[in-house]
Amino acid sequence: MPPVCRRPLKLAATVAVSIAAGLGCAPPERPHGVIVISIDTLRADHTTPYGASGGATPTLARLAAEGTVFERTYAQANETLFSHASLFTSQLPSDLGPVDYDLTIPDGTPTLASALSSAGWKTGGVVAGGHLARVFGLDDGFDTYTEGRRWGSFQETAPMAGRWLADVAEGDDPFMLFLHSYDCHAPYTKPHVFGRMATPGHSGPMLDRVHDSLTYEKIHNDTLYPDLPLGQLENSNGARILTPQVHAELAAYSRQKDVSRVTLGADDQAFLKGLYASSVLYADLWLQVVLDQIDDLGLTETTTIIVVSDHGEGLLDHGYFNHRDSLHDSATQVPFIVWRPDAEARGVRQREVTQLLDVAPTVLGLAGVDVPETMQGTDLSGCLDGGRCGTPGTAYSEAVLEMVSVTDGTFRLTVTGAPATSDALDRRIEAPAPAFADLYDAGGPPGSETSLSLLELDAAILARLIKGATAARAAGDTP
Amino acid sequence: MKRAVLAVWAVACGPRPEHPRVAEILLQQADLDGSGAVEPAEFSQLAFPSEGFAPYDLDSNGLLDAYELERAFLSTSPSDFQDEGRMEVHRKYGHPFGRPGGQTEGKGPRGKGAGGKAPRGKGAGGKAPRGKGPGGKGPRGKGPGGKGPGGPPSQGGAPPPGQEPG
Repeated sequence: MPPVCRRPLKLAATVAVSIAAGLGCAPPERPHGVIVISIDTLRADHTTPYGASGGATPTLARLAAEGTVFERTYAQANETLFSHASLFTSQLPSDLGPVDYDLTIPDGTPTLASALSSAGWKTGGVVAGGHLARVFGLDDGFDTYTEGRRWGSFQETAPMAGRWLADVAEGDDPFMLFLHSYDCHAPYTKPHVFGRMATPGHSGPMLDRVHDSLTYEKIHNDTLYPDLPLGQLENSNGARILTPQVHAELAAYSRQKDVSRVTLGADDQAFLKGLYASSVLYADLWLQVVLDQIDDLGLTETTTIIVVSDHGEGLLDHGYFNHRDSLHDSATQVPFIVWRPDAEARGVRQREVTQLLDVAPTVLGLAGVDVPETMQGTDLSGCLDGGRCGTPGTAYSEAVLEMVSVTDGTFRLTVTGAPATSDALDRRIEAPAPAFADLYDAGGPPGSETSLSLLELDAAILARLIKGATAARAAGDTP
Repeated sequence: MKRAVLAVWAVACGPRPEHPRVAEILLQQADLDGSGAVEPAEFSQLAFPSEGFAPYDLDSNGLLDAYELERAFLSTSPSDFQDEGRMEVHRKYGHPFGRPGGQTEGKGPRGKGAGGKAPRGKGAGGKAPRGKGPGGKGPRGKGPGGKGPGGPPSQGGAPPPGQEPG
């Protein structure tokens, strides 16, 4: 694809264009575009540009080598719905509504798609259903919004995206495509050679259980509790959902005697983590397919590609396989890579703390379209070639069931016990007390966080975290 | 020796992968013994026990070459692969799910919200990109699973919202 991928073809195309120009046949103009690709549940540290070894994500590695990598980007939530709502609107989830699975983007809320559409851009969304279904309002502003299978794969959405791109490639209008898949989401199982790719020949008690997405909910530390009655709550729209409360039930259940247990040895745990690693490679190879499609359509030289994720995934870092139980880096630190055909600098790495809130303003900045006043993120388009980005320096995240967190990229403050929309939470953030606040040194790799007492942290650092959280929460109050 | 010859022959004379880089990485990952192709013994170590080798061996030569690995990658849906497990547990726990699936390609927006809505019915169901869409081209006319993305939408009902964590 890009210069990244198909140099020989690019060279051939250049020669062909030169010949055509010499013959008086001007090459066809190609529309300018931006493609935002969200690989659901992709934690940053499991990709090559963010330190993963062994050819974990070759396609992302090539994009990063020729693009800009934001090294410390955090999602606004640890769940697909809320995180994408923030991505599209550049607002906190709690500014859009209660942070629950009923969340729907309110009518009239400016979004990335609506801002571009108003400026004459073609906008298309191709998503893998689930919590990106149009019923949640995430389709607002898109000219077309196509849902693949629920909880589906690039295997379904990438060809749909290819067809949409083929249509826009025939016109002159600039375009923005949003493409999404659940390829890294549990259950991580994949077909044929991806099945046990990371642990060939593995057999064990998990082998026949891993296709079941709820199996992962029954693991706590090194033990599977196969007969755990999963606690499912009903939310106000009547849907039965799994919630972090399940994890509390699991912890309590694990302390009971006389319940069935399957101890997971190191091999079993490696197998489960290997399934996730295989899923990451699987998604990465589909990214290559998408890049090939872009190249085949002649759009490479005019298209900016942005790759992000909505949240990470706990891989027993904190006792669970999931992303809902915490707002640690494992669940919130995500890739954010921008590849531009006309970049002046390649292989740029930005260390400033950035957020998914910044994606929409950045795309609008690249497009030369005014950023709506409601958007709370920072336009990073001016620092893609290097230089300062001017971000606030902290990132704020929210979760279902009364949990919020703020990080400066090194330390993390998490406050619990009140809904994200509540004034009571404001007070708990402004005067964090041990009963409701946890502090971590999160300067190392995800999973290596160490707990600190509130008194241990330098007062100035704590004040910065509190200021970051209160400023983020106040931003939504400003019209 | 025979297998090595077949592997070399496949590289030299077999059909070319549509996405060479993808095919190359697939072969790198799956060719555990470095022979240049994936043999049934290797496949059985890599795949889940429920999967057979034969459906992926398009030319029935007892080896999977880069082209066949790429075909498997493009044409086999992990969603199909996972659904059985999901449905089984949903039945077990009485989860109120309909049959997964139900592509809704081509539907327009639901008609609310800000910003220029386009006319309905302008979905992405148009032509394939130069006939090269993944899963679309199958020179030998068969592929494992047989459920490429170009096929008809499955008949599942629309899912109720919010029933599974994202």
